[in-house]
This record gives sequence, C-alpha cells and structure tokens, in this order.
Amino acid sequence: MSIKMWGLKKSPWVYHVALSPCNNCDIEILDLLTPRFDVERFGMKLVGSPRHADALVVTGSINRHVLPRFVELYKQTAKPCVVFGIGSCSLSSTMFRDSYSIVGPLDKVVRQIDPNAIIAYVPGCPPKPEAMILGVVKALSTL
Amino acid sequence: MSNSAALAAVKEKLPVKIIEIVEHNPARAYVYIEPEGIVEASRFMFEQCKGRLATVSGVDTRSGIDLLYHWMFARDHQFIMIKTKIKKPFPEIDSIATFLPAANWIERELNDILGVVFRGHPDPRRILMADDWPEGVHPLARDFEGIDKE
Amino acid sequence: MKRTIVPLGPFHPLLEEAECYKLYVEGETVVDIDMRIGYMHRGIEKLSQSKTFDQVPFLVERICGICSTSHPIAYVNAMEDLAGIQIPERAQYIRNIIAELERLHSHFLWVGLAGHFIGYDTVFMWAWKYREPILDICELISGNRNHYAMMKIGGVRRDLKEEDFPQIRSMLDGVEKAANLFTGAVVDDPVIHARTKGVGILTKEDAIAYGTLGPTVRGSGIADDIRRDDPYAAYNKVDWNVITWEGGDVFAKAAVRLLENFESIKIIRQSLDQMRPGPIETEVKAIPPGEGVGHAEAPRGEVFHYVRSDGSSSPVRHKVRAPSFSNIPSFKATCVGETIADVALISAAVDPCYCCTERMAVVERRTDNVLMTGADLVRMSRERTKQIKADLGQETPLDKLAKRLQKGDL
Repeated sequence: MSIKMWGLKKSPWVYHVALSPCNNCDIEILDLLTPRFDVERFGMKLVGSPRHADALVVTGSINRHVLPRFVELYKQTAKPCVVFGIGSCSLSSTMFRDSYSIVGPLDKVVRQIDPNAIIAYVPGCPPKPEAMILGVVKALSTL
Repeated sequence: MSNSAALAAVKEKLPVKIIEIVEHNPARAYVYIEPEGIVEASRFMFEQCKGRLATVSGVDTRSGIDLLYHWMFARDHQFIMIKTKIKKPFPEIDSIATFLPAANWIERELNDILGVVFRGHPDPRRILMADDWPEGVHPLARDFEGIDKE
Repeated sequence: MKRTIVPLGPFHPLLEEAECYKLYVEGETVVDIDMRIGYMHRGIEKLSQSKTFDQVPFLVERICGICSTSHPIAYVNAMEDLAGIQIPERAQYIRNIIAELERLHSHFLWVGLAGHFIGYDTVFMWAWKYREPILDICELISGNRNHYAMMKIGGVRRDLKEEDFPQIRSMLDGVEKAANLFTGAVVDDPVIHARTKGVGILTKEDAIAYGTLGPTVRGSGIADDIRRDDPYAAYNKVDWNVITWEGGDVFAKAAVRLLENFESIKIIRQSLDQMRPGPIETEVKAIPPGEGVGHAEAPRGEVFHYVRSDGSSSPVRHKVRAPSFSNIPSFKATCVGETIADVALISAAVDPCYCCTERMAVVERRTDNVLMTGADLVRMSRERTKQIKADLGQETPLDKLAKRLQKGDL
C-alpha cells in the first residue's frame, strides 16, 4: 500500500464541497467536528484546499452552473482520493432529478471525468452524523 | 371588508386608474391596474403608504403574463397586491428598481425565468441561470419544453 | 488609486455554500461588492408544478436545511389562505413549537459560526454542542433531526405526545441556561464590541429601501416580524416580544438573535401549557381555483410563498422568495466603506442562507489583480481579533466562558 493510501486510511484529510445542496447535509458534516461526535479523534480533519485532501465530501445534487467548477476542483484534488457522496441528493438527486437545472447525480459526473474514481455513498436526508462516520469508516476499511 | 387604513388610502388616492379591487379576506386584497401605471402606483405604495415590497410574482397565462407586486402593510396586518397583465410576445414593463433597491434582484429573476423585460433597470444582468444557459429560454414560460442536459 | 478584486468563493471552506463575491478594494477599504449567485439553483418553482399539493411540502422543505420548516409553514399558510381553511387549535400550537425549535437551533448555529469567523473556536464548538439537545427533541417529535415533515395543508402530520412534554421542558431549561451564558459573555465582551460595534451599519433608510427582513432589519431598530404583523399558527395566543436593537451594526444583529432565543423558549413553554387534546388536522377534500399568499417568520426573516390553483391537483404557479434574497443585496450598503478584514463578519451577520436565495449574486468578470483569497480574508478577521486581544491585555468574559466550557464546568 502506498504511503498516501496508508495516510488516507489512518487519518483522512477531508475537503468539503457543496454542490447545490439544501445545506442540511453540510451542517451535519460540520456537526462531526463538534464535541458530541468529534471526528478529529479519528484523525479526520477538514482542510482548506483540495490539493491537501485525501477525500472529497460532496453534498448536493449538482446544477449546471456549479458543474464546470466541480470538474476543475476534482482535477485539482490530489490522487488517490475517495469521493464521499453524502446524502440522497448526491446519490440520485432525489426529487430534483427532473429539474431543468440539475445535471447530477454525483457518480455520473465524477465517472465522466475519472472512470476509475473511488466513490462511497452515505444515504439519508440528511444522513445522521453517526451514519456518516460509519460510512467513512466502512469505506476506508475496504481500501 | 377590512378596515385597513392602507387599503382605504389605495381606494381613494392611488394615482392610477383601478380596474377592479378583489378583497379575498381581511388580510389579502388584489388591486388590478394597467401596466403603464406601475411606476406611479409603486411609488405611491412605497413612499406614501410606507408599504414593504415582499416580492413580485409572475405567472405566464394564455392571455399574457400576470405580474403581482406584493406589498406588505405591517400595521394593517394586510397584503395588498398590485396586479397587472402584460402582453406577449415581448413582455415589457417599466422597472421600479430605479427608485426601489428592493426590486433590483426581483426584476432580474423575473427576466431570467419568464423573460419579462424591465425597461430602465439599472443592472439587467443574468442572476439565476447558469453561465451556459441559452439566451431567450425561460423555464417558467408556458412554451418551455425542457433543455438538453448533456 | 488602483482597484483590486478579492474573490471570495465559489468554494470556501467556511461558507458552506457556493457563492462568489468579488470585493473591489482600494488599499484596505472595500469600494464595491459584486455577487454572483446561481450555484444552488435547482428549479424548485418549476418542479412544484409537477407535484400534487400534498407533495409540495416535502419539496419546499428541502429548499433550505436550516429554515427547513419555515418554507412548509409559509406554503401551507398560502394554501389555507387560498382555500379559506381553518386549522384546529392543537395544530396551531404544534406549528408554534416546531417553528420555534427551528429558530432556536438556527440561532445557536449562527452564534457558533460567528464565533468561528471572529476567532473564538471554543464558542463555535460549544454553541453547536448546546444545539444538539434541540435536535434530539426534534428527532423525538418528528423522527428526524432536520426536515421534520410536520406540516400539511389543514394541520400537522404528527401529534405531540403528553409523555414527551417533560423531556421537552427539561431540554428547554438546559438551552435557556446555555443561552444565558452566551448572551451574558458576548454582550459584555470588549473584544466582541471592538469587532462588531459600528461595523457594517445598515441604516434605517437602507434597511427599508432594500426591503431587509428578520434580525437584519430588527437590528436596525425596525420592528418587523411576521409572527406579529400577520399572525399564523398560535402566535397571537401566546405572550412574547418582538426584539429590536438600535444601531444596525453587526453587534445589533447578534444581540437580536441572542435575545430572540429567550422569546422562543417562552413561546414553546406557553404552547405546551396551553395545548388541549383535540384533532390535529382539518380534512381538506379539494383545492378550489384561486390564489393564496402565505408567509412565515423564518430565523432569517420572512419566507414568502404565492400559489395559484386552477382546481386541479397541482399548483399552476408556485412562487417562493426566501429572506436572504432580500437581505443579501444589502451588502452593497453595509460592506462598502468597510475594511477587508470585516467583510467576512458583516456578511455572516446577515446569516445568509444561500440555498434559500438560490445562490447569490452575480460577479462581473473584470480582469484585475487578485491580492488574496477568501481563506485569507477569514484569517485576517481572526488575526484582527488576536491583535485586539493582545492590545487589551486582559481576560475577557468570553475567555472566561471558554475556560469554564473546556473544564466542563457547566
């Protein structure tokens, strides 16, 4: 296993990307940092740039306007990286999928840029913080 | 019938011709005017009656685009809608953002989604639609047929 | 003097949503601000036309995750206005309780974020910790921490159980204690005063001209509050005050939010006391043709919904206007003339909910030098706080609170 992969599994640095969400998942993600859930004790850390990230935590259903910016951001993210689709919007766009402005879901968009991308899904609307932690731990243990 | 001071003032002193007033209930009244009078009517509602423009709704109907200017009167506990209809094709009306900053983004949004042109708007740029959204396509217009997402 | 542009967005680690500001600066002073929105536009008004009236509350709930129940309340208010429906009294009180629980959790969330922007990360951590019991009660009542799915046309979907009332009351006692702590420390803290008083002033004239709403307008001394101006649910059956503060600066807006927490607690307690057993919904068979206007006081201000029906089972037109759509343009009035280090805080003071607004304003593409990024701006804000604290040279009430919180002394 490469050093990077080992680092990712031990202590994932995470960059949070909000792509047309309602913000609920984003608030629950920030909740992970707060004392009740405290993911920093697992070594998980939110970083300020995709270049430093091991994992992208993505929320929202992706609209036309944000799409090119996300493509650029994904290309900038250091590889290997895991893309976590948090919430039902990133999985399937839920009730927004028929909208004129939505181009998601997440895996369709990511695989167009990188067919070998590693994608993990955490469903829920929003997923509870415990579900997110479980999702991250499960995904990392399979790498 | 409501005993709202604002509605009484509108009935007596609105400086444009009132086609009809419908009082749906004591808290909601709809005042129909011709589109040419919108600037004068809006100035009256804002400056004389001290109303707050909550927003402007646009509805694309067979006979034209209905515009409803929703004015809130806190002291009277009432919304008074100034309602007007503008003709298609090329729906146009005078902008009220020239004197009311609150109307600025509201009119830009209506332009994006319905194609209404607000004459004299200080900043008529795209506001909601993506950069690559085609010009002249308005998602809430009756003739919108969807868009290619690929 | 050369103008430079400082972009803030579209992906910024602290602002959860994608928006893009361009600040035009001369030296350290902001001379203009331009905003580009559209990053979150999901076409909800159009989607609503393809849903039945009963499905729409689930759709509009997801306009915003924080004001999650305000949109359904405004929508059902619009439908009940359209069709002339009266809802039973128990349902009115339940709507009160859900709406005020949302206001509490939203204001605590804001206190935490503002703390982070200023540089008090302990405040962020602990405001969010004290927010958790509120979300637990929401989960107890509705099954979900957010997106409660409680509202329907004619009433509410779920009843409150009497056996849950003691737990709700005990949560309120804990939240009141926390609110007292934060309010006391913030209102007296000289560093907070230095960072927020006189900063980002929204004058009464500008507040009215921009049609601003919620704590943003109440912080400029204007007592606009939909719960009093056009009462819905059971707000006219309980005793509470509209909170205003003079000054229009960041401090005033913070003070309004902190004090509103106590009013929310009062409203919930009285609603629990006054509720009587009874039905929680009025049966609604069909929606007649017509139009309805409904609004609600979300934590950020007035949420406005207009619905037109033609007698079928779906809306012909559903217009939504969220409070931040009216509040965010006021940045032109509050950020211009201020220093760069304060912009992050001034914009946070409006408590912008970008997803409600469908992604902020437009930024013009001008080619000019880029001096710094958004992350730099927030760092500047936090560094300014450090400098003020160093100049002050003494422990402030917030420092003392932070120490007590870290020791677990509460």
